[in-house]
Amino acid sequence: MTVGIRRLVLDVLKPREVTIVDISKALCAVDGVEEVNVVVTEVDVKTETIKLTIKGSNICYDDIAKVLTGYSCAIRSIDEVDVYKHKLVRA
Amino acid sequence: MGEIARRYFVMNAFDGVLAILGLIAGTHIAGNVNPKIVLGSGLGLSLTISISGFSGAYIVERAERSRKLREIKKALFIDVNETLLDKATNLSVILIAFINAAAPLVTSILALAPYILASFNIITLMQAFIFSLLVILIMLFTLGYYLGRITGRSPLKYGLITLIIGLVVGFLVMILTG
Repeated sequence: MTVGIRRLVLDVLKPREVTIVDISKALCAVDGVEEVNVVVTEVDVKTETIKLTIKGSNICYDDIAKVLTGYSCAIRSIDEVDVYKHKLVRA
Repeated sequence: MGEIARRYFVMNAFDGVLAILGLIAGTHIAGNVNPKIVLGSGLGLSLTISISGFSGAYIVERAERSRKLREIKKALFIDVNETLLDKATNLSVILIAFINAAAPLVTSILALAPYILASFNIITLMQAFIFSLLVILIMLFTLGYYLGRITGRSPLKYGLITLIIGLVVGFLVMILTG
């Protein structure tokens, strides 16, 4: 049996120069991610705080973090996570 | 980046065109000058303006964008080196410096093109001067017209303003060197 992440909700701080369209597309391109939802919750002169909801069949948190770091985003907190247990299917 | 690139392009194209206008006006008044001398001087001048434009823009834009990245780093509390933002910043600095260099070079070469024909005796020196002047005035009007279009104001008015500036410069050079 193995455990996979099905849903992640992250609180992220990003620079205003980077658009949420670019971030969401980059995250959705990651293996295991099927859907990304971005909501801007706060705006200031230089940064925006966004709430990221990532859904998929088997999300790898490290890959998500790597993409966000590449886009100069800082993960402030992991607010919600859904994990599930499933049997490994051997060929 | 687009806004800055546009600004640098127009400013430096304008510089390049006016510099060549001054050169051809001055050499015309000086008298029977070999077209190769005009060509050589003009190319040397445009290359100087071009290199100066590249290095100036590179230094200024690099400093500005480094400052901006430092501010972002301070606001986010993370290192932004090697991120896409950092790479995009570096690329935009090079592109802007390149546009700054290319603008005066291209306009100068276009303005000097009639003298290339004169150096091969295809046209006379006087004809080269007239054609060059026409090319310069058309470029000045076009630059002004373009400025008018992008600002959303009367392109014709801006075109005429830049054309008049060119005529005044040419006239002043001829009086001062005459």
